[in-house]
Amino acid sequence: MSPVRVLVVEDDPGLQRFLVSCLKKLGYLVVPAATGAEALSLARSHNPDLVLLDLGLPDLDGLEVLKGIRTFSQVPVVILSARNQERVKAEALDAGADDYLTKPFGVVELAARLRVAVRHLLRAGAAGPVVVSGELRVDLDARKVTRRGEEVHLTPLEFRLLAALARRYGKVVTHQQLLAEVWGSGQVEQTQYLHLYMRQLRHKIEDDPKRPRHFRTESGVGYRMEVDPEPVV
Amino acid sequence: MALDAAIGLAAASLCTLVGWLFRGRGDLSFYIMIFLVGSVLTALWRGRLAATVAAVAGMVAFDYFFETPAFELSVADWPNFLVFTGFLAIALLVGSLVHRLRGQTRQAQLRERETAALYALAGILSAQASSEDLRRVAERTLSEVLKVPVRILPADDPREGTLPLRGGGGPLGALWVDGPAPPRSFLEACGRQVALAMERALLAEAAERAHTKAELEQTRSTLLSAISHDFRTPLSTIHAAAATLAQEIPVAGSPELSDLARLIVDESSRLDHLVGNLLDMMRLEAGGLSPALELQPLEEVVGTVLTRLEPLLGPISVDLPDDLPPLPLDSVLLEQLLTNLLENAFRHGGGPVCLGARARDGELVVDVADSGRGVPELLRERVFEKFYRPPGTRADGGAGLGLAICRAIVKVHGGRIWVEEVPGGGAAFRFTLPLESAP
Repeated sequence: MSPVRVLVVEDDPGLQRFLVSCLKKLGYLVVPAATGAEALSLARSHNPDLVLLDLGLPDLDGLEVLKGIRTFSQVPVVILSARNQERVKAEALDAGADDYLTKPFGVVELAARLRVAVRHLLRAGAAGPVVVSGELRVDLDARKVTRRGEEVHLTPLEFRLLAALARRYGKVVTHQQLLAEVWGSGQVEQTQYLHLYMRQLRHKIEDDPKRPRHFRTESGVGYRMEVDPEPVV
Repeated sequence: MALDAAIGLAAASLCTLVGWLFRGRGDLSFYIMIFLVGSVLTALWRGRLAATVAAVAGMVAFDYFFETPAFELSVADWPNFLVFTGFLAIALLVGSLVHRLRGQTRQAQLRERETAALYALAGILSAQASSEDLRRVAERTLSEVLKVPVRILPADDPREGTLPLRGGGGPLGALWVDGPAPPRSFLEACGRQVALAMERALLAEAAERAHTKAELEQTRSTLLSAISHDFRTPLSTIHAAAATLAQEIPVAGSPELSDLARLIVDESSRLDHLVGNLLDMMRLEAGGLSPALELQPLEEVVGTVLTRLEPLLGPISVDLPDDLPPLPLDSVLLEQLLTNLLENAFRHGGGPVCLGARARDGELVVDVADSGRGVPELLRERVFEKFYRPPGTRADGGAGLGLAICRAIVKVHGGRIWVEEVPGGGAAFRFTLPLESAP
């Protein structure tokens, strides 16, 4: 398999250097870009497999670059953003970004996010019919959920919520995306239902709902189903 | 009074003297005319009292000196008596008319002076830029115009007998005259001018303040975004690069270098934390922060915080009833609030640390309790102040912003935060969150 090509869009030279050397070390082929305009032109000419995009760029808003890329490509885009930018993050995810990383992040986190993005890329976006995460097994086709071999009984809405997260497991799914997918597009403002159903789901699936390991909350943005939760100590 | 009477007498005497000079050369009506002219002139000059005295004294003198028989106070016959009475009546009447005319003239002159003074006042007042200058200049000018000391008091001054100054937006102050009060209508007119000018000055000052504030906000937000980007990006790069080194070096087999790399990681992460706190404080202080309230269970936020903090700090015991109702909260801010309180509990207090919540009287009471030394009663207010660090704090602590940020976050949610003593030792930081959104 040829190396995965990553377009890295970062205006800060220091962070750019760090990302380039890290990604090279991880075995990626790196195409660096420092401005939004450059990013758009490189995204067209180099046809990257992945895009790492900083939201704060000198010329174009990161969101604009994302929308620009989306007009001609479905390449996975991972957003880099600062803390306190939850609204922008959610906006970027709703506009077609695949995931995000909040600065400061470590190389482990970066590698994990890119791995998830690559995995989804290889499966062309569709998760297999069975998602296994620790002691949890979700069979999307048979609509069956088991925990340590025991079947967990979920209501249809709870299953739809679980399925929406499992189909994109490892990636963050925004409140809006979950609401539209589980309740329908007319309900995207009703986040309180989402919080309540998420709580019910955790009470049925998590060992300790106050310390969730399978379904992580990304405050102000959405939820993420963990790929390989650390085993309970 | 006495002077007017004396002048009346003097006028009568003068008329007698003039008449005496022409003695024997004219008839009765000639002398009468002299006295009549005398009493009218007196009326013009000195007013009604002097004219009356001049008329009565003149009549007596005329009877004594010029009416036959001379040098006795008697009236010879009926026609002469009519002449006397007629003279007196005409003298008094003319005196009275002249007096009234004189009064009207004076009134007109006074009014003209007042109008001129009002115009001058308006001119002087409108030239003042600040309300403080205006108050001083108005006091001085009014004192000059009214010839008594005038002061402008604040609207809430309890003194009696003041003239309130009212503007379109309510009371602005009160005029206080220290001495005999000038005519009410003029004082009121002056008051209206002062009120008008004061209101204008106050509005101009408010506009100026709003402008300055807007500029300040602009500077602040520019600075904020500059710091958050220009400071934190290099910091996060240093942190990430050092973390990678710290991971790789042990493989190469050099524990000392690995320690140094970990040191860079820890210190850059501390610096990032400090810069983050400073930014949060600036943001919260700017007042531009409106919480994104969403109805949700507290359990979710607690879950996020526990998942992140327990591996770093140690076990936290949680007492969260299952039937807590969902409540309006900003999960990002609340996460930060709980993180700050729990980090403090481990850093300054000491374990075991408990996180509890219960619903009570329309609000949720959340507490984070440790088993440390507690917070001395004297410091229980001060610990929430900005940049306050209790004496004896280790140098590697924060900048004293954590609890100030907590207080600001609780405040934007409409709650309260305080610290109590835990029975048996330790500090309990408690905060409330309303269960219903404020209308």
